[in-house]
Amino acid sequence: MTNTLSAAETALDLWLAEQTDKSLLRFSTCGSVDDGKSTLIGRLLYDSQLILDDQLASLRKESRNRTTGDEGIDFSLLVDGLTAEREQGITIDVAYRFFSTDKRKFIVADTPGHEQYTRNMATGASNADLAIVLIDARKGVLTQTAAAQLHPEPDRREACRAGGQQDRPRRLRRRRVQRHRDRVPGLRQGSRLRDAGGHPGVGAQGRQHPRPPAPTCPGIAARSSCPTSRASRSRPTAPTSRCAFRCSG
Amino acid sequence: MVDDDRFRFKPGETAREEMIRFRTLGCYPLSGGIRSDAADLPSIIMEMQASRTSEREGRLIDSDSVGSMEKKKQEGYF
Repeated sequence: MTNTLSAAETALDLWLAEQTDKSLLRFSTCGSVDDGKSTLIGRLLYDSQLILDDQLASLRKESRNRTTGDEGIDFSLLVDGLTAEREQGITIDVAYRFFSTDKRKFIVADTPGHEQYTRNMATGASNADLAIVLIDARKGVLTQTAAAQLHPEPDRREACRAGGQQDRPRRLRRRRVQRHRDRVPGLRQGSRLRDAGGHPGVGAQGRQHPRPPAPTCPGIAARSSCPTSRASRSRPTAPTSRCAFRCSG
Repeated sequence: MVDDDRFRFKPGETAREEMIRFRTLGCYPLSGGIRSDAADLPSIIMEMQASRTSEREGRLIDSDSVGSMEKKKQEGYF
């Protein structure tokens, strides 16, 4: 009994030390309506294996009769939870999600793109160190995309430009798709945000989406003793058996 | 968890003793516990770190209808 106690305490001490050393990044999405902000954040959480099994099960159920990617999931539902948001397919209020990786802790604020909810967007962006400015590949820079960039805050804010809706080329003329796919438009002149780079191709299909490695499991020493790992080996295709952590042994 | 006669059994079901822990405290009998041997704080924390489910998993109230919690809030329950 004593041995088990100290193993848990040691593991906890190690884990706490790791958490204390991690820096925190607060970031927010901004852009125009329907350019893919909520889907991007949902996809990010999903690809980083940060969605818990019961949440994933609810998500699959709620995604029936909705537009989804290959996995059959509408990723925007992870941040658009209000009945009105789901019925209208838009973000009305800011949703905050907290997560961490091996190296850093994050707080993401998913903000609305509709002009009438600009106040909510400003609230969400007010504490952010980084803004991800989404630009719809089909439409380019729109009024709200530009408005989001003229945020009246000190120059410490950085902006990262991301291209959304890259998986829907059919409605566009060929040349325009090419232009937006290869180059995400720059920040608007007069914006006090510092440009942190452009990233084309994100969203529902998850293409060109970096997959960060899973954090190391703080509690289990050997793969063979982990019940989750054993379960996933017997049913390799079942997503509910997947552990969020990498086995350390 | 069976605590009094508000807990209704299905035909053929009986109660048995197990070590469980409640991750969330809601109305009885609408809140479920989880099977757990964690008996002190460090073990509980490490168990939570490895958990693949959220603490809301045991809350039956979350799924009784679409937008269940939001409706109840609007009706003045919270």
